[in-house]
Amino acid sequence: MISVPSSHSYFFQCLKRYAGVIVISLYLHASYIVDFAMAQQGLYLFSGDNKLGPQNNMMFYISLIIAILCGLQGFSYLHSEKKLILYLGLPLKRTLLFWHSYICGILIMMIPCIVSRIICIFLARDSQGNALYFAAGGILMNVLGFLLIYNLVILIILLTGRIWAALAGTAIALVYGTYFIGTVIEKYCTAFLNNYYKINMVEELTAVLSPIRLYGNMAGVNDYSIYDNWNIEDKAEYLFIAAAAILISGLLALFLFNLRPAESTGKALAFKKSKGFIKILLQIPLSLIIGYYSMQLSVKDRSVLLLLGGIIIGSFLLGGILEILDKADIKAFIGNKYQTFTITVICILISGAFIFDIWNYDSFLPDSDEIEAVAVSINGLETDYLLNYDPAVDYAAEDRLNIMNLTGRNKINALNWLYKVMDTDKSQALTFVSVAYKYHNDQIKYRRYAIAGQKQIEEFSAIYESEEYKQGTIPLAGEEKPSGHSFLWSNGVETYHLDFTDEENQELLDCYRADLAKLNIEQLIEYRTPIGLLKMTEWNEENGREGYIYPSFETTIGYLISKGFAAEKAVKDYEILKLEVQDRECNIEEAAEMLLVSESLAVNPVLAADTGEDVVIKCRDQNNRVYTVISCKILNPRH
Amino acid sequence: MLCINGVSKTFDNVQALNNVSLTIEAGKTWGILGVNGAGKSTLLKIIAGILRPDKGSIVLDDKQLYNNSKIKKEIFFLSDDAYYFPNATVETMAEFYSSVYKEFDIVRYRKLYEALEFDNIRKMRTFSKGMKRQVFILLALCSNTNYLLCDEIFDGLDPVVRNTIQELLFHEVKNRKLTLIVASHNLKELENFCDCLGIIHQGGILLSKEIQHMQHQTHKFQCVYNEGKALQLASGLDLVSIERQGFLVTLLARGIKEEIEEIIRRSGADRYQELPLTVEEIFINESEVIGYDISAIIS
Repeated sequence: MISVPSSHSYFFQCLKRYAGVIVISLYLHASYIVDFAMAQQGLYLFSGDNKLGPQNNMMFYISLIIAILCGLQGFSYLHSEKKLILYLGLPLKRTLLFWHSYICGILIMMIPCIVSRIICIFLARDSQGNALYFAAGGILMNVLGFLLIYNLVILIILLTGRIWAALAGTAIALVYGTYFIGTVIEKYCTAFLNNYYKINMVEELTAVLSPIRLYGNMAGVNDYSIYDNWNIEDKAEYLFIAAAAILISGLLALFLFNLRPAESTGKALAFKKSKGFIKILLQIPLSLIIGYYSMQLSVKDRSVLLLLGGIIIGSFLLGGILEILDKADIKAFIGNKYQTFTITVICILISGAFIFDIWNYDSFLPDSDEIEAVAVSINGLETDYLLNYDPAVDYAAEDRLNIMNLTGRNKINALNWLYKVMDTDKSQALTFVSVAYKYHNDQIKYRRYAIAGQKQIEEFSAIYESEEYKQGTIPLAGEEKPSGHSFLWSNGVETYHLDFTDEENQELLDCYRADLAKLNIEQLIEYRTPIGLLKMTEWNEENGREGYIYPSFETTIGYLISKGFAAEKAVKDYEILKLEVQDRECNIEEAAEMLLVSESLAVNPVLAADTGEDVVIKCRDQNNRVYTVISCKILNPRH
Repeated sequence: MLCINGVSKTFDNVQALNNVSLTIEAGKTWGILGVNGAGKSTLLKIIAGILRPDKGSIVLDDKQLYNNSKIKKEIFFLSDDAYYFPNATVETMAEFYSSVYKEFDIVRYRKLYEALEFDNIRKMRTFSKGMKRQVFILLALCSNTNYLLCDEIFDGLDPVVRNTIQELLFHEVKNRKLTLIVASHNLKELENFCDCLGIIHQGGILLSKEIQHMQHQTHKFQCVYNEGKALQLASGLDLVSIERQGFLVTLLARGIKEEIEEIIRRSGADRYQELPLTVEEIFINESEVIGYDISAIIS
C-alpha cells in the first residue's frame, strides 16, 4: 500500500494537466530569446524588439497568451459536468483545489519568464548598464500583467457556465474599458460637444477598465521608444492600480470558486444574481452605440429621432438576444421586459445629457486665477499637417500640451484669445486649436476650438511671440545643450548630416534660437512655408528635436551657407528633370507655373498648401550630380 | 454511519429532492431505486459533496460532509460516465487518484487490472464502455474508502461485465466493511446484492427497508377455503395484501411464519402453502400500503 502526502503529489498531478500549455510557454519564451538575440544583431525575426525591460512587445503578448491559456486550462473544467464531478468529488477543500490550479498557472508563466530574462541579460549588448534593472522590471511587469489577465480570465470562467460564454466574456472584458466605455463616450462627445478634445478622467477610466491597456501602460509598450527607457517611478500609478486589481480580482475569484454551485455548468451564467449587472454592462453601451450609428445614417447631421429610434430598437434587440443566450430558448426574447425598459430609459437619459450638454462643456472657460497655466496647440502651425487631411487630428497636440506652460501675461492673453474663438462654428473651421487648462491641483481640462480664418490666427500673435509658447511648440527652442548630439539639415530636396564640432553645433543653435525669438505670426503668414528643417538628433535620424527654418532666419541660413549648405534654396531653385502630378507625367515647363513646396515643409494652415493632388518631381542636387525624387504639394495662389 | 438529514435540492424551480432523510449504517449495501429523473444522482452527488443541498445536511460519523476534505476521504463517488484525462492509461489514472486518496493500494490495483487483462500502456480512450467501467471500479475499490457511491454503474453493460463488476463489489463488501450505495432504475440489478433498498420518487424517499428483514417478516400464502370461511382470516393477520378468486385466497402478511400458518389453520383453510416471494412483490405491496403504486417504477 502506498501512502503519499496528498497535497504535494496532487500538485504534481495538477501540473501534468498543463502539459500542452507548458510546451507552448517554453516555445514562446525560447522564441523570445532567439528574437531578442537576433535583434541585438540588428536582425528581425518575429518582433525584432531589442528591449530587455518591460517595454518588450513580444514578452507583453507572450504573457497575455499564456495568461489566457493557463486560465482556460486550469479552470475550464468548471464548464464540463464530467470533469466537475471528478474534481469536486475529490477529497480536497475547494480552496485547495483553487490554489493548486492557480499556482500551476503562475509557475508556467513565471519560471520561463525569469529564465529567459536571465539569458537575455547575457545576450544584451546595450542596456546602458541597467540590464539587471530592466530585466527585473521586465519580469515584474510581465508577471503582474499576467496575473491581471489571468485573474480576469478565471473570474469570467467562474461567472459563466459554458465555454462559449467564457470566451466571449473574456474577449469583451479584456477591452471593455476601451471599446465599451471609451468608444461610446468618445463618439457621443464628438457628436454633441462642439469643443470636445479629450477628458482626462475618461482616459484614465478606460485605461483602468481595460486590462490590456492597463498592462500596456504599466509596461510602457505603447511608449514607442527604440531602446529601454522604462522607469518604475513613471509607472507607479498604473502599478498601484494593477496591484490593487490583482488582489481584488484574486480574492473575488477565490470567493466565487467556493460559492459557485456545481449545477451552474451548462448555463450561460453561473450566478443568477450577476445576470442583471452583466446585462447592464453590455446593454447600455451597445444600445448607445447602435443609437449613435443610427444617427450617422441621417442625411441631416445629428438626427435625434434616429438616435432615439436606434437606442430603443437596439436596447430591445440586445435585451432579447441576451435573454435568449442566457436561457438558450428563443421564447425568452420577450422576457424581462421591465428590465429592458429600464435600461432603455437609462440610455435615453444618457444620450439626453449629451444632447443638452448638461455639464455646460461647450461654454466652459476657466478664470485666470483658477488655473496655473494654459497650453495651446494649433493644428498645422509648426507641424507638417496638410489641409486635405482631417483638420481635427493634431498629432503634435499631445506633446505640446504636456510641455507648454503659458503663465502670467501669456496665460491672460491666451484666455482672451480663446474666449474669442470658443464659439466658432465647426463647419467653418480652417483648423483647430487644442487647449489644456492646467489647474493648481494638477487637474487638467482639455478643449478643442475651431479656428475659422487668418484673422483669428493673426490675433494669436501676442501668444505666438512669447518664449513660453515657442519653447512648448518648437522642440529645438528648448534649453538643451547640443553637446553630444549631431544636427541634420534639410531643405525638402536635400538632406545632410552636419559634421560639426560641439562649438559649431552650439553656434548654429544660438543662431537658430536668436532667429526664432524674432519670428512673429505676420512673418509666418507672409512666408507661407518654411524653407528648411533643422533637427538635433538623439539616437538616430528618426528621433530628435526639430525646428523649421523660415526665410527670415538670416543668421541661421547665413551660417549654413558659410558651411557649404544650400540653405537658401527652395524647390523652384532646382533644375527639375521630370514632373508627375497624381501619377500623370507633365511638361517640365508647367512646374514653373506651380508654387511647389516639398511635402515635408508644407506646414502652414493659413495658406492652404493643398490642391488635392500629389506631385512628384525629379531634380539634381546642389552639385548637379545626384538625382533626387521628392514628393511635393502645390500651394494655392495667394488671394 | 451516514445520515442524510432533511435534504432538499431545487434546480431552476424543479424540485429534485424534497426533504430526504435516510440513515445508512456502515458496512451495509444500499440500493437506491427510482426512475430517470427521480433524484437518485442528485442524492448521490450531494452525499459525495459535489452538490450543496439547499436545505438539510449530510453527516458522516457526526461530522458535516460538505467541503470537509477529511470526511470526504472516506467517500468515493463513481458516476455513470466517469471522466478520464485525454491521454490517460490505467496507470496514469491510478497515479492521479493515489495523489488524493492516501490509502490507495497501487499493488492491488496492478494485480487486479492484470487479472482482468488490461494493457497498462493502452490509452483509456480506446477502451470499450465496459472496460472503462471496470477500470473505474478498480480505482474506486483500490482507493480503500469506507464508502463507495455508484451511480447507474451497470447501465448498458453486457451480462459478463455486469457479473464481473458485481463479483468485484461482492468481494470488497465481504472482505472489508465497505458501505456501498448503488443507484439504479432497475430493481433486478440491485436485489441480488443489496442489504437495504430505498425507493426514491419525485424527489422523495417513498420507502426504505432492509431486504432480508422484509423477506423474513413478510410471507406469501395461497389458501383454499370452503365458501364463507375466509372471512375469518383477516382479523388475526397483519396483512399487506389479500386477493380472493373463488375458493382460492392469496395473501401477503407480516409476522412470524409459524404464527401466520397457525392463524390460517384456525381460520378453517382446507389446504394452504407458502409461495416464494420476490423483492419486487414485497416493494410493490409495501408501497401500496402507504398509498403508492410503484409497479411502474420498479418493473
